[in-house]
Amino acid sequence: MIRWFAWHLHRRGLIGFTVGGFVISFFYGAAFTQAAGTTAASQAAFGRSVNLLAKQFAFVVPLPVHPETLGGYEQYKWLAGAIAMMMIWAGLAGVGVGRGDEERGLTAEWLASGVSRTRLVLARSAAFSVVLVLACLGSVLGIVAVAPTVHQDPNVAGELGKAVSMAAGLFAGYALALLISQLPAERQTATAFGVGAVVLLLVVNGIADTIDSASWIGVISPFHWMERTSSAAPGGTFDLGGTIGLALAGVVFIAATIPIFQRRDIGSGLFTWGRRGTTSVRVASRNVMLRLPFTEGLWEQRVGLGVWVVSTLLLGSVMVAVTKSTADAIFADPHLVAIFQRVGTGSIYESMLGFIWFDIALLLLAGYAVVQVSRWSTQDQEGRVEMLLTAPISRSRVVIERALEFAVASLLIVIAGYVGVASRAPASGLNLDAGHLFAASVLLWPFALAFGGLGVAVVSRWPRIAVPFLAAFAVVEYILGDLGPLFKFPDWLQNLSVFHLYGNPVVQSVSWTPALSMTVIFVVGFGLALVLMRQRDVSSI
Amino acid sequence: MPAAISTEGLTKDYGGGRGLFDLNLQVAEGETFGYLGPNGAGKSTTIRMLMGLVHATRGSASILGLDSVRKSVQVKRLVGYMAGELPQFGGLRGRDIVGHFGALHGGVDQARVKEITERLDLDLGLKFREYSTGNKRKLGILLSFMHRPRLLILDEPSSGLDPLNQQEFFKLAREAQAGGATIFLSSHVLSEVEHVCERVGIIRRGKLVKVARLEELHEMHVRHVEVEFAGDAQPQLFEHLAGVEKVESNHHRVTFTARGSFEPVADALAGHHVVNLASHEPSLEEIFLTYYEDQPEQARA
Repeated sequence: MIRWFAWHLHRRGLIGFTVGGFVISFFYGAAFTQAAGTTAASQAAFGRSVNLLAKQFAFVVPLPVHPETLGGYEQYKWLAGAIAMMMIWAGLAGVGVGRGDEERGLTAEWLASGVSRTRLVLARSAAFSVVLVLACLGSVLGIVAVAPTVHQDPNVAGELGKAVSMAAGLFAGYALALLISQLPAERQTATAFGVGAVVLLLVVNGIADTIDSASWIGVISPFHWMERTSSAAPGGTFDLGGTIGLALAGVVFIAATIPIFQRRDIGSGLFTWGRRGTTSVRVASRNVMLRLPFTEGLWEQRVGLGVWVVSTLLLGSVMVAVTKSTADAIFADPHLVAIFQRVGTGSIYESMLGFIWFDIALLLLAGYAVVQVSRWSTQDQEGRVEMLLTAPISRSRVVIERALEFAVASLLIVIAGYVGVASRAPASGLNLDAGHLFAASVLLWPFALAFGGLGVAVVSRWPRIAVPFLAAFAVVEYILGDLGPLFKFPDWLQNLSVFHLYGNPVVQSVSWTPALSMTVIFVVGFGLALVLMRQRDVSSI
Repeated sequence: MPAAISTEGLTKDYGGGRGLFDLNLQVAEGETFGYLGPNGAGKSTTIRMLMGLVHATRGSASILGLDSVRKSVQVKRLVGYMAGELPQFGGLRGRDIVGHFGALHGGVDQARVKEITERLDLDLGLKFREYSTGNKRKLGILLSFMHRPRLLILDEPSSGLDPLNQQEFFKLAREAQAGGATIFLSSHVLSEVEHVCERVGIIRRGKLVKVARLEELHEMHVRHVEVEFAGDAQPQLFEHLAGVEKVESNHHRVTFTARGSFEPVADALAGHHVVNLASHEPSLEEIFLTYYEDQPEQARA
């Protein structure tokens, strides 16, 4: 029974990542000839360009292996991003198994039914491992399926090798998050630390890939070891030792989790601090944040929001250093300058910042929207919204408070990113147009609001499907923005992508029309949320 | 004076026979009304419709003269609601939850909060996840009583409380009623209803099957009868009598339930040598079960 439940609890992730991964890898594969052409010569030229440019983006994605081939292109263009995305999922799953189950009362039920803590951890982890393997297979098999249609030979063994390596690395990330989730007292803090740890390992790998003197720190990151397997590309390698090491690391993390889980109390972390005295409190809190509209939500998520703000600020700051080093490398290579002048506009510094920082910032904000919607969805399903609506407030106020809460929180993240970049740029010798930087940063806000508007609309009516919907929407939007130009989709179709709407304002002249469009999406989503929330039945059962 | 609760043909049809159907109910102001039914009978659906959380398929409900949907916010200012189970508030402390919901009700009466927490021995300094089941119930009681509402809608309020705190809760409820508040108490815990309520409605499969004063229920002519004969038991005397059911015999003794007038039973016994005759009033539990006798497993759930 425990095994069935363990499977059941991962069903959405399983379906989403396996089916979604298959479909996306299929489309990326189909885009290969659009990008590289159909002749051997054009593909070789394409490969050379990618190889030259890729060195400058090593912070974000690993160096390509034979990008002139379908497998190599896919590995560089899709799988690198897929791994990062799936690692976040694995981290969330680790925290969910570690602490989420507890908050939902499932852990207590299982333990009460005679399941040991060891068996519980092993069963949940085994189920997620199988889910990971299937999801990784889905992410590579799309390319095997599409290969004949683009007149390429499918590299089945190599793709399977890459999938195995991915699964091992993601398993290690999952197990690390599971281990970390045992430590803090609060589930929210555990989420921030668990997911923060896997994001930190991604950044560590980026630093190791970019800064030669720091390359040694890459060994602590599972991303480093996953990168060592490049078997999806013809001529690539399968790092058997690294893959086994990742799997073993996962096993060690789980082995370390078990005694901690056995030692700590259910509903509490291994470490608790700030234990209060024995005097009972008999009065209500006078905290002003709890009394003002919408600030209660901000106050409740203050730790998580703080982590987002500080992480964004630090990441922005780090990205400035990365931008400077990669841009300087371009300046030093006439071939790269020539290529860059063909594909880029504006100054190289600003273009690189657009590619490196603002692309990441967009994904961060889309991710924050998903996290926030997940919070509302959980509150709805746990009966918080029902409870709230038994107080003398209208349904509209719930929606308005959510929108305000999201607007303020996303603005804080946007400001943090701007401060991180703007404050570090002069010291790093990065000459940026202050106006462009400010405008590009400001435009991140309506981008975030557009996602928030859609999220608040869906969660107001269908809280159970809001998270997978918004996550899938974000992925589709990103891919539409990425593949739209390759497939030469009509403008109206490309403009359906919020990523495309945002454009690259740090180098282009700032157009406020996209900002207006994104704001309209927010307003429409918000208006829709008001209507949907009024119509629905609110019930946690 | 408008009724505290008034419903007309209130219906929520979930399909497949599930939901609430044609509920016509009047609860007067100042009354304490018990709403009885097994799990899944429609109690929570009724409450959710009264609170404007769930939209009616047809019919209407009003609270203290205000439409429960169109005047939802005004209604909720007058109501103290206690859910059957509080939602997860995770790391929020009790005092934060009380402060937040107090603010939503227009402000916190700290003296009232202090009084109730002392009476229930509730520590508001703990985080919600640290609260035991009983403490969560106490917090629910505090949240529903603290703003002195005119109508209290309580869903199984005393379940999970220890006997001392149950008594304290009953006192709080009686005080609220003495202060003019109306109490609508939904439960399948009959002792809970017996302690507080004057009138009871019994709901079955989404339909209100009986509304009666508590005494009326006790006075219903459903009796358990036990007849002990001097010789062999003679169950055949009763098997065909109107209103007599569940006839069982054992040696000299016959037991059965008799509904309605006792006269046919007395007539049947005439001329027979009876050494003992016992007839006792059913408990509320037994009355309750008689409304579910065709599906006893559901009633017992």
